[in-house]
Amino acid sequence: MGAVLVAFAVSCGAPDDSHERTPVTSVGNLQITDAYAPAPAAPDVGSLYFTVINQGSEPETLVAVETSAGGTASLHEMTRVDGVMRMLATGPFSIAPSDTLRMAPGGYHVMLEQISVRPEVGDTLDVVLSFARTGRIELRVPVLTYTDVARLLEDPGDHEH
Amino acid sequence: MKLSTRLSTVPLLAAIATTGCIPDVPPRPEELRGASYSDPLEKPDFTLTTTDGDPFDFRAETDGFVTLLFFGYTYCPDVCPIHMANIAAVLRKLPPDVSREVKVVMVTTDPDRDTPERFGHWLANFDPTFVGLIGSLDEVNEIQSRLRLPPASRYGEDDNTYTVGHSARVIAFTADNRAHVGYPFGTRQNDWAHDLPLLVKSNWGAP
Repeated sequence: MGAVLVAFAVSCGAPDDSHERTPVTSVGNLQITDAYAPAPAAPDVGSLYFTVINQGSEPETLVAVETSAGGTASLHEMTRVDGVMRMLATGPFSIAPSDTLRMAPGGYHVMLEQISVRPEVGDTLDVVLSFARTGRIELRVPVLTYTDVARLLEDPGDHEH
Repeated sequence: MKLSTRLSTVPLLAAIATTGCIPDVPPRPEELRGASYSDPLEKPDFTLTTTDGDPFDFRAETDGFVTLLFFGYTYCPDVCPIHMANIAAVLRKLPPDVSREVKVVMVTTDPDRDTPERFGHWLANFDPTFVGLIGSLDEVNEIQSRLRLPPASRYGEDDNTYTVGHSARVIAFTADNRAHVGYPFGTRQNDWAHDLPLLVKSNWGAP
């Protein structure tokens, strides 16, 4: 579980004006950054990403996610075994003190299934995260195109030819 | 006479110097951002059904084109839509003489849930010219084995929420109907924009 946990790899305060970023949400010892959702290509399945930084001295657990898209939301991890990529539901996810849960395509994501309101590009998805210690954190998450989501993954250095 | 010969040679040499290769010489593996196959893959000969219900003879329909072949499914959360979105975005930006030489074909690894209508609508989100192909999972896995890809397999009991493990690699066939290079998940738009013109430019020794 710890393999993808990256501690504070995001350089805070380095503005990136080429991409839409959500403002940092701080509640208690938790900081939520980089929340975004691609507009789903299918009517009933989508995904949601965000990063949780646990700045406290106690472990914290992400227990549940709810969204205004309806349906179910569950934390998944992509794994690659013998060249095959597959998803695994992680269940409640523990974040150690000073650790970060970073979600990104190809790694951790919140899988939205049986959604009843399909998010469109430009919409805002209302999201409620439930943590064992901190309680509920509400987010307003921008809905982006997959193309924009893919650009978020690019290293700034990639743009040089 | 001599002067005109020299004059006509200079632009050609300049073109070679600028582009790094003359049209018939394939790019070297190190010139490409994709992962080169040490032993190129032969383009498989198969016929599956398009999302419009028509038979699609893969080898015949894509003959001579740079053809990007991918195996995935519409319940796939990010690997599949991001590959498709990246390729579509780059094809829209490339010059028409490059993009019209590229065909994109995706074969579903989830034929039970990916109905022609669902799969067709899903692909049209990215580019209406992308071809979606449907066959039985056995047929699809047999094609994947010919391409040295692991078989797709279903995980989970529930008929609605099961997931499908599959290869995340896009295989790029060139004009010689072979694949010299593949693109894993994590390939960026600028990688595609870099490689596709190089793949299109050479005929790879095809007659």
